[in-house]
Amino acid sequence: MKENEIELKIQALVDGELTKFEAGKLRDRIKNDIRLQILHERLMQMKDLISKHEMPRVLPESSAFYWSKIAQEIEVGGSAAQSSAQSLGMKWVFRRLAPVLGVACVALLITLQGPNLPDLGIVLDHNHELLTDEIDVMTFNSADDSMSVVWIDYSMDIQKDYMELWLD
Amino acid sequence: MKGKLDYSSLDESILVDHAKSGDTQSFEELVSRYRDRVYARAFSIMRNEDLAIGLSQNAWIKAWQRLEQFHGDASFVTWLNRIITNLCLDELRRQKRLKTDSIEEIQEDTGPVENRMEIRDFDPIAKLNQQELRERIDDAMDKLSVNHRTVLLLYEYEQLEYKQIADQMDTTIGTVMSRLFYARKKMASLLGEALKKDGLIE
Repeated sequence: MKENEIELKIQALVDGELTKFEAGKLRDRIKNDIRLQILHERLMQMKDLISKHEMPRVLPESSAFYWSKIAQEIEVGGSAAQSSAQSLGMKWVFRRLAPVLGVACVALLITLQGPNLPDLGIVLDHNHELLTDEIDVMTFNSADDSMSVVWIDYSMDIQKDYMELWLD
Repeated sequence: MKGKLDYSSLDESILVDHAKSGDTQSFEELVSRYRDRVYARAFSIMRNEDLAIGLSQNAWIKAWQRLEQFHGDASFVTWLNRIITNLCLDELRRQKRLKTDSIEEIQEDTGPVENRMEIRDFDPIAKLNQQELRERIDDAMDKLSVNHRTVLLLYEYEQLEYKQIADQMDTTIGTVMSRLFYARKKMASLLGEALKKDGLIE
């Protein structure tokens, strides 16, 4: 075992982080090595010194001033019970509404798809559709692959570029 | 007619229950009981008065918002200490002071046992009174790097295990062990110097 490994093992022994078996083995080794005994003793001493002498401190601000900021914040946020109930309520709404909204969006897209199909004059086994100029949505339908893909993009330029490329 | 409630005489668990149902006066009483301790923990880690005040106030605000999650498994002050410690670690991460290893930390894995833990007799320390001893220890803590001090504080005061400290500090158990050892070694050396200064050892 390397020197630094044994030091860390002894520290782990002092900190109670070794298994019974490991601790027993290490204790046997310490018994036969005066240097390790001293190290073990010093580590115990340091641990004891530090853990029992945390510096107590007094808040260097008047209690009223200190509390006023906390009070202001918690009043804005509402009571503990209220904020908890609100956050639970919001979670419930999101959990229930998210799938419904998702389905509604898809339904809206399907509705918009039909009447706004641009006549590209190209007959293919799949369609590449731009729905409207205002809505950045494109769909790709492939009968062969039984696949339908919907793009929602914020950049019309990219779509126009893509359309030009595709038409070429 | 309802008499005025004396909050200072109420039991902690009652105050917590009242606060959970939205009673800010009960919460104010809890703040008044533990504000120094929460501030002390923040200062121990941050070593900056203003930051410690601000973070401790944020800890109380968080505690209020999360009171429902407190089930009394640990004591209220232990729960608060966890909140303030996490806030301090977040702040250190934000300042990126926690991840950058100092030259001192890079060197911590070198050297034989003799050099790594000063073999010094600390018996003269018994001649110091408790307050003097606390001051010497606190001064020595102040001289540690942020990483070494934080590991030491989390271990000795928060009583976290190696694994928990590693998780909190986004590092490995090996690094925690190494930092803890180095921190104790450094503390031994700094306390030795302080005792020499006090004329307690030669």
